[in-house]
Amino acid sequence: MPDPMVAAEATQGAVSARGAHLSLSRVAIERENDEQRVVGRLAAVFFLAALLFAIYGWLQGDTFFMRLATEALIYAGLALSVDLLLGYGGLLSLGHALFFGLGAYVSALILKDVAPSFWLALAGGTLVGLLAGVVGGIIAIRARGVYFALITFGMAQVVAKIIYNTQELGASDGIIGIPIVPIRLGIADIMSDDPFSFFILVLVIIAAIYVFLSYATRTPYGRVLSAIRVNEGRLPFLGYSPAYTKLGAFVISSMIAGLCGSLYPMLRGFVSPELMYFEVSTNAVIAVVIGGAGTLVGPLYGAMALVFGKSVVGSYTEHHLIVIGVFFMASVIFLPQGFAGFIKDRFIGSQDGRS
Amino acid sequence: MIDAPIISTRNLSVSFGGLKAVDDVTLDIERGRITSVIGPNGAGKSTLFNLVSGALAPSSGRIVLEGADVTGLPTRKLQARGLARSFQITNLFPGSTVFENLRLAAHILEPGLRGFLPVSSSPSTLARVESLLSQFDLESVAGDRAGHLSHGEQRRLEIAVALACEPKILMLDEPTQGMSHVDTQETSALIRKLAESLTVVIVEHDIDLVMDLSDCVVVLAQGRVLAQGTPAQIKGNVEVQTAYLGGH
Repeated sequence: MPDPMVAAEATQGAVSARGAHLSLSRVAIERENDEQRVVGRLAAVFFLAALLFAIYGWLQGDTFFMRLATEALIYAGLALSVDLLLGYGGLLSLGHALFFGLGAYVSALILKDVAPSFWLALAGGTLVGLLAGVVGGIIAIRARGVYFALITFGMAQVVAKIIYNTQELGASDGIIGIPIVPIRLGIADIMSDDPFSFFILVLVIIAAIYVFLSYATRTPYGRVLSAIRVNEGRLPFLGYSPAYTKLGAFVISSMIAGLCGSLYPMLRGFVSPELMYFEVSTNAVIAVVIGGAGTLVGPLYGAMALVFGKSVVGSYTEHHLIVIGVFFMASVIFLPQGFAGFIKDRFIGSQDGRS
Repeated sequence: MIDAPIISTRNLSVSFGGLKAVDDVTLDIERGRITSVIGPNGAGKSTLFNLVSGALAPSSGRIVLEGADVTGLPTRKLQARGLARSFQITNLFPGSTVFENLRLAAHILEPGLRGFLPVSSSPSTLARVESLLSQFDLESVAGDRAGHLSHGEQRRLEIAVALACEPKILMLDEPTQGMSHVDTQETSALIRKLAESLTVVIVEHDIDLVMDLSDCVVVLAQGRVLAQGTPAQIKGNVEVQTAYLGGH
């Protein structure tokens, strides 16, 4: 004889299972939202910590670490631009220093020779990043994998060498004596040599880039870009164009690199061909990889770790690159998803365990 | 015949090196029917599929889709004209969830500017995804990664993804490949149901399935059309029996 209790339970189970089915795509969306929440918290921690650091530095009257942190933020912006291509589109650029350096040079030239206008320099750096991105993108996106990496590497080397040999651009010395610029923000005017104010300004710009990219990667176009990394061949059969999507991402990425580059001469007062060298490109890639490719927030942490790591280790030994190299290898071996990927997996994993 | 064929090939050929993989194939696929392409291994079935879906360019010949010459058009342009296909080997985004795979595919029907709005903001795309999930019995795995599904579920998802753009012509490359008998039966019923509202073209090895399901069967051998007709005609065709069906 069937047990009525068991039968009732079974019915109840079936009902709740059906209820769950109806909302399963909602569940799938919520899983995405969970991931975003974890990443969002990491970003909130990052920007809050940066703010606290700035206030502490301001109270201490510190200049050195504040400027170092500003530089790290600028490189974090470059890392963000690299992450859009590498972490989402699966495109390894080994030449993003090109766009960064072009932005820096154009900004320096505008500030020195045209007008000491912060906004004009910013716009000039961004625009040159965009234009160079269109040209470089059309050349590079035809190639895949290692060939894409080599083409981007080659383009950056060529332009760096041209600038290195151009007297009008200061050749190997670069451009020095870039004036301190007043920055009119409407509510307040600040000077680019004020470490605290300039740090906050750069922080706001990097935060804006971060917000923009994390929005963009969550749009359907962003998802198509991510799909390219996984299975580019299927996309045309779904009606999408991988080529246009990659070109669009490349241009946005190089525009951001140019924008970040334009901040550099305001901070350091000079530009040099080294800004376009391989080391700048690879440092951005390393920041992305140790921070967690495809998370956007990871590269922010990665760039901080790299710039501060170099500075701290560099004060003990001149062979700091050995330490950085070992650190990089260890991070790739033990945290293959990078710092942010590791945190994300842990958090989402523990949530799965609970349900 | 009242209706013009929805898709036709005219003297379609393609060679790889010296080998003519598809040789002078002229076919008319009728609207609203299930047409199956069969043939022994190496007969050129998949190559013909790749030609018609734009994955390969023909060496010569023409492809006509609803009266328009579409020879050499890129895949995504053909897709925009209503031609979708699935793959013999499941060809999806394994790290993404079932839901995300379908959403990506379904979103193509949205106007271009919607591509700049958040990914889950389109009610019509979400509704399409929901209906595909239920139609293909994938609701219970909607949040699972596509790579973690069972083989049968992956094959179903493969078809669902192809359908997400609401095509007029659905080309299925061995849809039941590797499926259990029960799964094959279910998929067969599903295809029959789909064929009520669209044209289906299938490449399939399972002869029983083909004979049971198709309105029209095309037999390829060595890149050429050996015979075409209703399943009954094909079964009775002596040439086909010697070339392909063997002892059947």
